[in-house]
Amino acid sequence: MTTLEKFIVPIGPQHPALKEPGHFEFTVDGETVTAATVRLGYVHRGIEKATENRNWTQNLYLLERICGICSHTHALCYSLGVEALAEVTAPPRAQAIRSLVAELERVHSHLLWLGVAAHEAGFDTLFMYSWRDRETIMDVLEGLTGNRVNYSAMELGGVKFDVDDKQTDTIRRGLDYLEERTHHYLKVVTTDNSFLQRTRGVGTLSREQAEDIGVIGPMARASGIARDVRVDAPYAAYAQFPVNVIVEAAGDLEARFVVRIKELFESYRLIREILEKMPTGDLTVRMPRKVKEGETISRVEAPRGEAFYFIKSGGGEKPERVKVRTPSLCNFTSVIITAPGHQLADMPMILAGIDPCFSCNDRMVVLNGESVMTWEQLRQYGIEYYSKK
Amino acid sequence: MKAVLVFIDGIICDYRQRQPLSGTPDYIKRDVILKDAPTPDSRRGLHELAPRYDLVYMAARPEEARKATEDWLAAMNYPQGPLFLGMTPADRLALAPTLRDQFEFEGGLGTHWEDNELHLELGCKSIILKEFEVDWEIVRRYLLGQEHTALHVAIDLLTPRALKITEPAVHRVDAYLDAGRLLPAVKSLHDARWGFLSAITGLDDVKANEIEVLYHFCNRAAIATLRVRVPRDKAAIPSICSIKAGATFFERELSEMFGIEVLGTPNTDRLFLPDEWPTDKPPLRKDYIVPEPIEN
Repeated sequence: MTTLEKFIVPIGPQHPALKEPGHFEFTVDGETVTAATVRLGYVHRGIEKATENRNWTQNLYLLERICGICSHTHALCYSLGVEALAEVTAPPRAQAIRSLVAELERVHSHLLWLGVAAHEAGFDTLFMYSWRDRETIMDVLEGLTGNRVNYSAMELGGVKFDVDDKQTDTIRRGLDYLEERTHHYLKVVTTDNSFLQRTRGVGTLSREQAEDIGVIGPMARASGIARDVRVDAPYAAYAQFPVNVIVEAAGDLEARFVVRIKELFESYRLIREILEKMPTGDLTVRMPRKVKEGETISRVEAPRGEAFYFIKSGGGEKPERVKVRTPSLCNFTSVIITAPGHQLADMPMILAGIDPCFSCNDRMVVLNGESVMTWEQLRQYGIEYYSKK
Repeated sequence: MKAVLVFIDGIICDYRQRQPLSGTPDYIKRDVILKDAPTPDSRRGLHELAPRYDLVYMAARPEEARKATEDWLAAMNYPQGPLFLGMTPADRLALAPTLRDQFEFEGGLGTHWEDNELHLELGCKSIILKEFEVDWEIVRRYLLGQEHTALHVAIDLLTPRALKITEPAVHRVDAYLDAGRLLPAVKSLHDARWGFLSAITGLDDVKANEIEVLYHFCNRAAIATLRVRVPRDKAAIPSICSIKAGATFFERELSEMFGIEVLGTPNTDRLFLPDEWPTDKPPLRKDYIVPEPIEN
């Protein structure tokens, strides 16, 4: 085939490989990819614009819904920013619970990713196992917060719930089980020959390339860059409960697997430490209705890397501007750059390697045997609940 | 001027490529040594130290490797300095009296506890760092002090180009620039390998009839923001993709959401907005009012 003729394989927006709508165009020469482009926005909901028409509290709920996987990240990042503007600091116990939920969320997200990435490699057994084990952490989160995905753990100025001894025991038991399983997964992804053929030396991003593009999160750490907001600029309770950064030098897909799986162990350790040394005290401080005029930047290490919020207040009940930069946007560039030279069949794996944000499906849960309410009943229940509080 | 002792192997030189040859004569052959890689950031680290300190190099290599080592230092563009060689920790310790006579040491950089022993003998600060993965921020903190932390490096780089520099919060610096100075400012941060471009934010200032574009660079805890104002009518700003290739998605987002033409950006296709969205209604401008949703 001469290079004069370009053959473009369009993939998406709906396609068998990814569970998220995105449109990719891969220019191929035979089986080899020579260029790649991406078109996003199929689920763009105009959330940044919508924040300008809602008050500070309403926005907490709106922003938590940016992502079904790292919902707590967004609520936390937004709250930290608004609290900084209002010059309010959440109490130590609340900060510890924030970090606790953030780490539980990281565990669920990494296990979810492990399954998705294994599925892309055609290793569905690993997919089934890791998603079965992920249920452990989903149950923990549900028991703790009442929700499987949008946990709604945050409140401006604190958190909504406390952690009692019974829950602590449940979390510890869950972690013991998961830790054993995670050792097994680490062994599988580093020793299984057919799996390694899909990951070792594939999609390699050198340290220099990673620096140039500015990739973040596990992507950066798998390319030898020790970049983690929890360490670089500790927020919530990460100053009291320091994180060990996991770094791998190889920069290929295997390194991304190893980094994320080793981060699971680090999260287990952190969760245990937080439970052990949980500070005592209040869960919230009072938050003003209006937030002082000013601008602030807040950053939180999401499971996929740094989430970045720029919040501007004009001194009123609503923000002037909330800018959200999610980690996937930074990391997508790496796909465009690493894709050329690879086989078309490697594309799903390279895409999955950055852990692009998939939506995860919620399910309906009836808690404590209570009956299903209509919208009006729920609203009334809420009004009564908070008037009693 | 005081001196700093720099241990070459592991601190500035990543010699792992020739490790398989260890024990053979090829291990210290000139063309093999010249293939060693500099460790990340080490060149910049030493060049920052050079104006303040004499640099004295030390390596665990035999005398035969002296010429090759000197050539490697020159080829990699490290600052000049005398080179001392000692194969074993004991050999290097034996050099201490000579070193003490010739220099007054402020600190030493090493990777092992044996280095620490030598530093104690020299009576200077001993900075023991992770082999091949030196965190130069630690070196800066102990040898250059507070004024050279990342934030101040950014201020030094941006001051000559900015209209105004402010520090709105801890770890933050905002540099207000003319649109014409944007590229040189980005280039200065890029050339100094200062952090990474984390986000581009647009702010619509209806009162001033201007749009402000903010380029946020993050370097660990430090955040440097470049702020450029452009008129709302015929808004245009130069692309920084020639310097920061990773900016392409950010620029496309900025362009469609705020109706700013990004001059010279490599790809102007729609990234987020639907194809049928009118070009004269950038949704994040304040005068775009979201239509009321249709209730069922």
